[in-house]
Amino acid sequence: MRVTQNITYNTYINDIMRRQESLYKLSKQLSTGKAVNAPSDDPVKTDKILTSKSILSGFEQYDRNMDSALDYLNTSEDAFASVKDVIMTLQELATTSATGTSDASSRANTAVTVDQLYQQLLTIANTNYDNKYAFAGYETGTEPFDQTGNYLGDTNSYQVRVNSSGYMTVGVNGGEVFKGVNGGVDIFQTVADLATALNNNDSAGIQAAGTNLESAFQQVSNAVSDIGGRITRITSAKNDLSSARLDVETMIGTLEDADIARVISELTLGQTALEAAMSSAGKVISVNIFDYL
Amino acid sequence: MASLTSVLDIAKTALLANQKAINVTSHNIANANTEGYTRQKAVLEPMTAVRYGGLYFGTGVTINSIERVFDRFQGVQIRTATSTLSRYETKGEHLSALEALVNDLDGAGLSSRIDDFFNSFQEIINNPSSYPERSSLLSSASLLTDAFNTIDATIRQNLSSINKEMESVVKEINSIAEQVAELNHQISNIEVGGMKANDLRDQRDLLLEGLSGMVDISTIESETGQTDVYIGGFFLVTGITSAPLELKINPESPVYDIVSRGTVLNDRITGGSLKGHLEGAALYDEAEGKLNLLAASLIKEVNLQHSQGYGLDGTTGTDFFAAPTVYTHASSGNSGGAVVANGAVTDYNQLTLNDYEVRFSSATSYTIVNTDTSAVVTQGAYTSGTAITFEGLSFTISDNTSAPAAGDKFSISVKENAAEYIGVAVTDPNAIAASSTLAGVPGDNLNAMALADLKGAALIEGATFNDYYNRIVSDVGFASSEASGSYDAQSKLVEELKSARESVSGVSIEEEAINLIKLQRAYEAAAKVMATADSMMETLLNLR
Repeated sequence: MRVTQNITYNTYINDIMRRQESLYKLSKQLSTGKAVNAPSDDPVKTDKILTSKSILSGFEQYDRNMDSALDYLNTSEDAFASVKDVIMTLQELATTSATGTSDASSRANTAVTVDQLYQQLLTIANTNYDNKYAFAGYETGTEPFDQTGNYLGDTNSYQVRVNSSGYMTVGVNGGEVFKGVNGGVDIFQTVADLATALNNNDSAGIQAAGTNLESAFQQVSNAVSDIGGRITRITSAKNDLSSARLDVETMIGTLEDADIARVISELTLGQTALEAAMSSAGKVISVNIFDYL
Repeated sequence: MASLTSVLDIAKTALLANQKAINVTSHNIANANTEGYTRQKAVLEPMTAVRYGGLYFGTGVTINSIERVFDRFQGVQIRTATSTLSRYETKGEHLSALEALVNDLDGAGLSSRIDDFFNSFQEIINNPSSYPERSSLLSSASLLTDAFNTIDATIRQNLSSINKEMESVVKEINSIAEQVAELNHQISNIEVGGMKANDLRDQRDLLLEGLSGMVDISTIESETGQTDVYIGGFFLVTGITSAPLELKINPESPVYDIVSRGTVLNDRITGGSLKGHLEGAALYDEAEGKLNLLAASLIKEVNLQHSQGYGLDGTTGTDFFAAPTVYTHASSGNSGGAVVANGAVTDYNQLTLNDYEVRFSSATSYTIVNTDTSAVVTQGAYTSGTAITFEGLSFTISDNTSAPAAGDKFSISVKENAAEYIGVAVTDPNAIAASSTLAGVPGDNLNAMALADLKGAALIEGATFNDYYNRIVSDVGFASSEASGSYDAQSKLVEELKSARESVSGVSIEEEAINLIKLQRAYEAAAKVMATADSMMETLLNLR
């Protein structure tokens, strides 16, 4: 083959350009830390990365959903703990007042306390959390219980999405817990009955109310256990989710992160090759026939 | 004849021939770095011998011709390879631009905005009556529609700049065609006298090589040395005349029609930057089509679900996204004078997002065909100005300059401009229909749930919104990596071919330097012959 100056020069130029391009790509991987910087770098990985990132974004949302559910459940748990305290106090008052030693006037005095406790229960049942009535079903804009203890909310309980396959019921329905709409005890009625019996000096009535209060206590306790169960489930779902998130994050990392050690070693190799090409070019190009003629 | 004068004559031819050969060598050296230059060679030949005294005596040397040293086949190969190379180069440039447009790997593109949009619905599920969550949904919805609008606008802009680039390419092609025709004229004029128009041929080859970078050509050289140039079988240059290409706007296509004397060449062009531009435009068009489908599908599904719910303010039946602008278009080939207008969506439930064509079989009757499935949707009798309603769409065709004629076509598409026009219709956060029951139930989040669930539903061609978009991105990625791979391979091939040609036709300084010395020595020797003959002559003359 006849090799002319132009062949030599062009070969060096093309060769050096190519090496510089590959060095540029490597240094870009190094500076971004990512092996896939554009879809064309690896279209298959691109699809997986984008899908995984979308899944991750969903997971992050589920986590926020569960945080918000936990806030609500914790508030509800606190509220029901107070309800239990109030019912216990009422039970003590009923037990004390039921004995023959208490007379009409002391029962009337107790009735005043019971009325106050009734108001306290009403306040708790109308708990307003984050500008919503917590126990009103979907009717979160309306006070769920009026003065006489009528339930004005509906029978719904709100749900949130906790994973890609399903929703979880979070809302605690005030109608069920306070009014026993599904065959339970109407707590407000029971407390009102107790007050009436005390005012009427009606021992049997007081005793009956005391029995009902026991059922009421059980009813609220059950609701608290329910809530505790949900909190446990959400907490464990959050743990599951965080390990799933870690898996997806690791996968995204494996897919898109550059292998720094490999990139650096390739970069070094590329630099050496470029230097070799340049030094060889310098030697060959400097050979000139006119030095010898 | 073997006289002393003939020795002098021979020496004279040798002096002249070597001088001329040195002339060629110096021309080669002078053009060592001239692009497209083919090295030349002086072809020395002995002059006709004469018979004298029973012997043939040579009469010296002459330069028979000055040849270009080249391989015709190499030129053709390089032109073909160059066409392919610049096709991939141009296509690759367009794909990189498209890729940058849809690149979502940095997490700020359409894909993550779709995620954010549906996540915002989940925030509303968590807190249906809260104003900030609702207002945040409206802002993430606007970000989503902005992304659609921006990508679409950029695609349109790039398509129009492709047309501008095609204008300048075609201008260049026409200018080269004229120059080739002119060179044909000059070359045949010179060569008719038996000489070689070496440098003009170099010029013409260089022009043709440049031309092949813009469009794939085939050439035929005639006996008179003129080169005819063809594009897709249609001549661009024949002899000394050129047939310039024209660009015509095609109302049915985003790119120009490339026309040669009345024939559209778009499908006949297979190489060169022109092909790259055509392919680039097709890719943009395809991506835009998919984006439009995605946008139209989002509008349809979200609006359909949203209209079933109730806002905090009691509103119901409202669109979340602005109703799509239904694209209606009278085919440019229509012979009748009817116009189509008032396209509107009447029922999201029936909407298919397919494209339709209204075909008139006579001035009074039409058939509506779904062009995606080729199925006939409905037929009807035409009354000017009466709304035609089918599959959730309605529009009117009315007589304008005249009634429609048989064979007239009108296209109807709900997705055609969806990415351009998509926008959020809801302005009041309280009007977001999160509730599935009547107004006044602020805690009801059931419709918001249904809306949030759209994210995971396979609603476009068996894919979710995200998956569909990710497919667009990875398709562009595949096309782009394929184009750049082909470009790399092709550029190596072109380099090899050019080296091979350079090896044959290029000027080697060493070679020319050695030739120069060789010719100089021959010149000196011829001069010596002349001096010797002269002194022999003198010897004779001095005889007494």
